[in-house]
Amino acid sequence: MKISSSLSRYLLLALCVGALAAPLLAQTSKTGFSAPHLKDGHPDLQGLWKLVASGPSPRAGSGIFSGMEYFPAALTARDELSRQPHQDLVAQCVTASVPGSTLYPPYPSLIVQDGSFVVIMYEFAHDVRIIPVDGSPHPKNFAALNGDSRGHWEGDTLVVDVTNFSKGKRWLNMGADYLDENSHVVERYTLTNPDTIGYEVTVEDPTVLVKPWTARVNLTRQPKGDQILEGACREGERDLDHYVSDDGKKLK
Amino acid sequence: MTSAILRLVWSVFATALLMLLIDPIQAPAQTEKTIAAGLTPDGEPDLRGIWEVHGTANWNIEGHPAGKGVAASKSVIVDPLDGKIPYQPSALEKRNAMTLSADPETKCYMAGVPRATYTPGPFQIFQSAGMVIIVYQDLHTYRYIPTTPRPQIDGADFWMGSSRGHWEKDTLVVDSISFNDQTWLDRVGNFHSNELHVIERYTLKGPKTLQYVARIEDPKVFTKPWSMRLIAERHSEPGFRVMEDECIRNARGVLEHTARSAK
Repeated sequence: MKISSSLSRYLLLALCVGALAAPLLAQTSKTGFSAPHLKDGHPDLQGLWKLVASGPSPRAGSGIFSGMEYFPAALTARDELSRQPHQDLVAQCVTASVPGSTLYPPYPSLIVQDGSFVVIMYEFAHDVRIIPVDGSPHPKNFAALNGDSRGHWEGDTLVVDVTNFSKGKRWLNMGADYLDENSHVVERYTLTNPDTIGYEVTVEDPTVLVKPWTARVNLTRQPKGDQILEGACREGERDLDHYVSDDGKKLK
Repeated sequence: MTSAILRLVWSVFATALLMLLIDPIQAPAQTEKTIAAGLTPDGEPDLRGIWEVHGTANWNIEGHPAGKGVAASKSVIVDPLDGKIPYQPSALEKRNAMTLSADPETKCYMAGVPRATYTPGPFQIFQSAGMVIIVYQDLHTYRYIPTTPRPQIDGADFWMGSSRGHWEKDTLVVDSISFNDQTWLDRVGNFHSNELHVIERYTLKGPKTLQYVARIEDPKVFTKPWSMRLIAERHSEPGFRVMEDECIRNARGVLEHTARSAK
């Protein structure tokens, strides 16, 4: 039994889901639903979740990404980038980053709350985000491909502020819609019914986007008894051989 | 009558001797102090924090002389008492023929169990009701360990295995199966097969000291189960964090861990 994911399976799935899915808007709670709370008084968002309505988009500027308004130079950069698929960190099994991890791969993620941390474990490439929710500020002199995430609660909504991204363009989909190191991401996670998290993300990027871009999707709770599996990607990956870099060298 | 008493004394003595021989880890442990762990809000022993094992086990878990950039060290194997892995003869030949450059860690593959524990870099333990999460800095590897009864995922070929935990007093006991045969136990090529079965025991020995004991069983490779014991120390430096560690090809085309190059 081979459960480890391979890139080819991922790309195929990505194309299928992307083609079929139209994004559903996250719904605000109009039904008077009240989220269950943990002993620390905060809403219980824990569980295994998966983006069902909206998958990775094979084309730039489609679906939830249609709201991204680029500066002219950034638009040119995007089109050039789309001809260099090996530049996509997802294709290299590195990370889909933020908010790509939530919007991009059709794999589940596990949310765990530990009092002073919210941990989000993504099945894709066994990526993980450790999010302090203790009021601490973003650090100075720190950069990471996933940025630095700090969370706080606004009522029953978990708000995660993400800055400190590494220099470079990180792809949001296979069409090379991208964000760079100047982006500021604010995510809002709200339980809208027992089995749905409404996820809203707003991104400002003064070197890429003319104005802030907001996307909304729903995450659906996975059946009881399912668990997060090991998303080996680089491990044993053979498809990377098919990618060739700018100087003609094969990537491994 | 006298012979009955003698028999009784002898059987008690023999049992004690046998226990010492069978379980040399448990025996010294009883004379060491174990501090009661604090409790999490859910009432479970609290092992939360950022921990790191120092030492040279990632290079060689058996005793070894000093090498290039590596200090000499005693074996971390506490059972058997000679500190040597009880290999089957053909497996020992295979181990002795391993080359350092073939270490799967150099290809940026997940380290496996127990190696992830002593791979350079810290790991962070998170707890919520009925589960423990361990995030290792090395290649952002994580393990989801339910501590409520839940069947194992059997027959899979995971790098980190399928893990199920339970509490024995203040000790977290983690039972793991469903491994592939691709990970090594250290850089010099100590290895296992896909029949690897690991039982790990995490015990707080002091506010900043976590004892880690791993019992390794693999009927394809070893003649009998064996155990290693390591100590992890708590990080309490202000602002200390598990860093992002991605594996990216550098300008020279060599795969590089971002957490190891970022200094």
